[in-house]
Amino acid sequence: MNIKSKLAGIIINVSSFVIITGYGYTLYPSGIHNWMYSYKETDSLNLPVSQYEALNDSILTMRNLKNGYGFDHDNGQFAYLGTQTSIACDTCSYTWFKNNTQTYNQNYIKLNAWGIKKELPYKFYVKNKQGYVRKAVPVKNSDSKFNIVDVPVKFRYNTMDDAILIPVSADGASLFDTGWLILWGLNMIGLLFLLYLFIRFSYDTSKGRLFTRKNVTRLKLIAVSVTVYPLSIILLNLLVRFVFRQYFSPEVVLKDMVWYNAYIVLLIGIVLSLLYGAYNRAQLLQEEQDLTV
Amino acid sequence: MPIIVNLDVMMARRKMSLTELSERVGITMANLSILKTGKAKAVRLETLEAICRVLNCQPGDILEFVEE
Repeated sequence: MNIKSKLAGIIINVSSFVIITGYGYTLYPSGIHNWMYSYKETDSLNLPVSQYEALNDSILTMRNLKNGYGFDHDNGQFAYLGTQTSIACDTCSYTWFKNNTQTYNQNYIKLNAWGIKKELPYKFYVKNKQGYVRKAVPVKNSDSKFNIVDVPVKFRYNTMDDAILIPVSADGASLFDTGWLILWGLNMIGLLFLLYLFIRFSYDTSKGRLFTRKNVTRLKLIAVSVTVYPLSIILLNLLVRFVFRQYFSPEVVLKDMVWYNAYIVLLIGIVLSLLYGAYNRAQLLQEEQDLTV
Repeated sequence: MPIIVNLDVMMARRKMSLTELSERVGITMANLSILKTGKAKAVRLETLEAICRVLNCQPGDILEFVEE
């Protein structure tokens, strides 16, 4: 190992120690965990970019390992649900991982629809196998002052994806994956059927057979499916929240993204429903016209 | 439908086939068949006029209201 590597290693280790233990940081009152404040504090260190990036990466990696989502591997996602396998290790370092093959796998059910309220940029950490969420609590008799407190929580949190993780056993994850696969398969069959309906609808329309009973039925099925789909996704995630309610705390919220995506699809569904109404009326008029002698 | 189309009765009285009526009235066999079988939802006045002219009858001879 050359001197540069040694130096970089020392800097990384010392910086990690400083940041993780909180030495040199007295930003918050005692009793509040301030030791995980921000790796961006390393801005003050005058380092070349490459070393600075390496430093940030290594600290992030160590923090991810401690928080239980180190080197995470997603096993797919549908309806904001999926599983994740990660390495959870409270005592491992980045260097240790570079030199060892032993892993500490931890399986999670990943709830991508659920995230933590956006109150502070760094808001979750694990210490002594206990998860904490940072929270701003208003000071009594004051509208503008807040106390920053860390609240213990049962769930884990993927900071990168802003997703709640429910720790489960390997069997639990496997069972969830099976159910998830069935749900995904049914969804794919449904989507393919809708695609088939749409192709037939488009073909008939291109051939001038616009206002036929078949076309109206197809449009009705498409409109109902598109309208019901986003609602069923939200309902499914609410059901998941109910199932895992013991892991949830008031800090966990349904992400804005879920509502936004649902609104868009719902809007398309409403437009299609209106179109169905028009087609239904047009089909009756067409039938009347066809049977007028 | 409580409106009965007696076109076949009038055609029989006048001894006229569907083909001949179709040619003389100027509507297609398919449309005439729809009218004859009672599937029609509406009859244009001009069609009714042409049929009455060819069959030499009144609209009431072709259309009849029967209470269901």
